[in-house]
Amino acid sequence: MRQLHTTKDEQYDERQRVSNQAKDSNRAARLLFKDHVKVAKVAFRQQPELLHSFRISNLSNRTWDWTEQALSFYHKVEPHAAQMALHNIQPNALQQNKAAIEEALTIKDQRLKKKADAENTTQARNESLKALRSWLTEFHATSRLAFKDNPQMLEAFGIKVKS
Amino acid sequence: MLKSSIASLFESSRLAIYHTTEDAEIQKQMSNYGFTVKRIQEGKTLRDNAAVAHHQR
Repeated sequence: MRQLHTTKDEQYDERQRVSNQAKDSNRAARLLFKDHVKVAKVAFRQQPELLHSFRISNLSNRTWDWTEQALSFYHKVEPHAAQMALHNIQPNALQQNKAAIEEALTIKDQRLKKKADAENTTQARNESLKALRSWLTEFHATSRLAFKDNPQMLEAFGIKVKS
Repeated sequence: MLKSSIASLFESSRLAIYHTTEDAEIQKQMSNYGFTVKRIQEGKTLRDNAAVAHHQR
């Protein structure tokens, strides 16, 4: 039993570690995105239409909404990476942060899928136990009638008989 | 459902299936009251399915 608890504790710790790591990477990617946005606003200040097309005038504060905004930004800024490079943001820095955000989204999707799978498994288990319970209730009710004069048989079925 | 009540459910259903499949007299008596061999077999399938689902968690 102690071994079982230790394993569960270890699994919990591992999940926490992975979750914290994901949060840290996410936070770092978001901060970098904000830096890139600041630079883009300077680098493209003479091209308001292009800057407007990046849709970065307001950055979303919602947990995952910013990632969509960021991926769209990196996609649109890519052909103009040379202009960002003039402001000390190299093309590979843009690509790396785009990849980091894509990876964070993949991890999030996997986590959600795992959670949904676990919920489905629990639901399937509960339904199967419910069906078995219903069957057993009917079995016991029938056996009480069929063996009303044979309490030993009822006890063999695990039914408590009043003496 | 509590672990103890799940264990009790599995054990009670095991006893029910075991006695009715092993003893023709018991089977006949249950059948006379409407609990046919087919119903016993259904119980066995339900128990097998529940055991698989329970251990998958």
